[in-house]
Formats: sequence, C-alpha cells, structure tokens
Amino acid sequence: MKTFVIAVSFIVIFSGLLITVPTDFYGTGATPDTPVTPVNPNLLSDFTDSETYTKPNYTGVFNNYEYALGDYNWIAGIGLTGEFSLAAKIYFFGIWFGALHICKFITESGTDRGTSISFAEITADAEDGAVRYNLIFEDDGNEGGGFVVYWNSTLYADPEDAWTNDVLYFTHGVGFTTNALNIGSLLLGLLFFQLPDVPFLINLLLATPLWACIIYLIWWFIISMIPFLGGG
Amino acid sequence: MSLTDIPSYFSDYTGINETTAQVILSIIIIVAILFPYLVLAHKNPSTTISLILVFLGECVVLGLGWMPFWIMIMTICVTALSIAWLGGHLAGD
Repeated sequence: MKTFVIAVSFIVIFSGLLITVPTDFYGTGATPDTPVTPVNPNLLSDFTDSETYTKPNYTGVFNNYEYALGDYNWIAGIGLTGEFSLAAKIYFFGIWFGALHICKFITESGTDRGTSISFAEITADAEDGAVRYNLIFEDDGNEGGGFVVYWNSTLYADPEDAWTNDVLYFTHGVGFTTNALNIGSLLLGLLFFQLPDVPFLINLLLATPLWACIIYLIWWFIISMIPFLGGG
Repeated sequence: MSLTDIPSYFSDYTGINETTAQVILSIIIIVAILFPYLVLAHKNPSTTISLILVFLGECVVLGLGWMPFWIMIMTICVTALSIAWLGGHLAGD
C-alpha cells in the first residue's frame, strides 16, 4: 500500500508541477546555422529546430517543398502569382487525407498578412533584407512557429531579385513556446531519454524514478486483476 | 551589458569557465532570496515556504538564462519524490 501511494503520488505531483512551469522557462532555444546572416540575427534566434530552404527546394508538379519540423509535416507552396504559403498536414490515425492547418502570416507588429505573402508584402515588412513572421493556424489559432524571410540586401535590392537568383532564404523555426515542446513532448522526451539540450545522464536520473513508478503500477494492476496471484 | 551576459563577464573577470560562473551566480540569487526568510523564521523554518522561495529563485535564474531548464525539472522531481515519500509513510503499510 505504501509503495502504491508513493508511486501514484509521485507521478501525479511530478506531472502537476511540471505542467505549471511556464513554457518560456524551457529554454531560449538555439540559433540555426544559415547560409546568410541577417542584419538583425535576433530574428533567427529562439528556435529549437528549424528548416531553411530556398527556390531550388520547390519541386514537383505542384511546386511544393515538404519537410518535417516539430510536431508536424509541412508543405511550403508558391502560387502562380508568386505568393508564398505554408501549411501543416493533419493526419488521421497516421494517414493523411489532404487536410491541412493553413498558416496565417502575422508580422511582429501584429499585422495579419493572411494565408500567403507576396513579394510586395515582404518588401514592405522587411528591414535591411529580413523579416520575421509569426505563424498562426487559421483553423484553430494555434502557433506554428516563426517564419523568417531574408536575403543579401546589398546584392539584391528586393526579394524578387534574390528569389530569381535562388538566394531568397526562408527559415521556418519552432521553439519551446511554439509547439516544439508541449507538455506531452516534454514528458515523452523525459521518459525516452530524448530531452533536448539535456545531458543523457541527467535525463536518465530524472527518468529512473518515473519509470520505476510506472513499472510498479503496471505490476500492481496486473496482480490486482489476477486474483490467484494473491493481489488485493 | 544585459543581465543575461553577467555570468560571461564574471567568468572573464575571475578566470573560471562560464558554466561555473552561472552556477555560482545562480546559487547567490537563490540564497539571497531564501536567506532573509531563514533568518526571520529563526528556529522553525517551514519547508513549504523554503521550497516556494527556492522555486522562485530558480524561476529568476532560468528567466535570466543562467541555468538550463532541467535544473527546474530536477527540483520538481526531488520535491515530488519527497512529498510522495512523506505521503507513503503517512499512509502506512
């Protein structure tokens, strides 16, 4: 009974306390390696994971670029009129039927650019050849990370020139506060020794009491359900 | 100079590595928050209040980026284990 109370209490209290930690405390994130450093490198900071791509990555019949980042698989598209869009695939039991979380591009000053951004909008929003948008899912309002568009503004006056010469860069990043690490991911990372930026031994130290409690509880439930084993 | 850079300057000034500087400065912050309470509480400090103050101090140093976030997870783990252990003993055999 004592061990059971300890195991249950530990799991409940640990999870409860962990949930209350503000996500901003999970870390400031890393700055990705990029081919060109924007004039304001802070635009690219605070990402725990990121994907950088440019014109040659857009391939196929639909001129799309697909990549996995954070909790989602993403599709970056470009329209016939040169407008850029981004969407996350929605899977149903592991199968994708075409449903998408379409992203809205919100500037840092809060201007909603809608579900696609044009060269004119990028030019208007950018400062010294770089602009960062916050991505918000159009359907449910959840955050999709940050989207930075940048180019060498010394060589190319506007983003369209840079795009034509394959040097208009897009960096899509996710951070601790933007879906890269929600509480579920944090607990799973903890249990499976994959916490980001945490030494393995520390992860092992943190996960051991959790695993011990989980294994004990599984064993306790099994012997409780099989009467002839003598459980409660 | 921002507050986040203080451990870097401290390590340059003292010749120790940055991680050690971060740990030393973090301990100073946490103790600075906890110490007045321990003095005021004199002989009978409450564990709960002490824990709250330690968490508060950790929030400050985590917010400043002086310590990695797993320090907080570790404190949570130890706290949860202690409370659960106490609960288990109160529940008896």
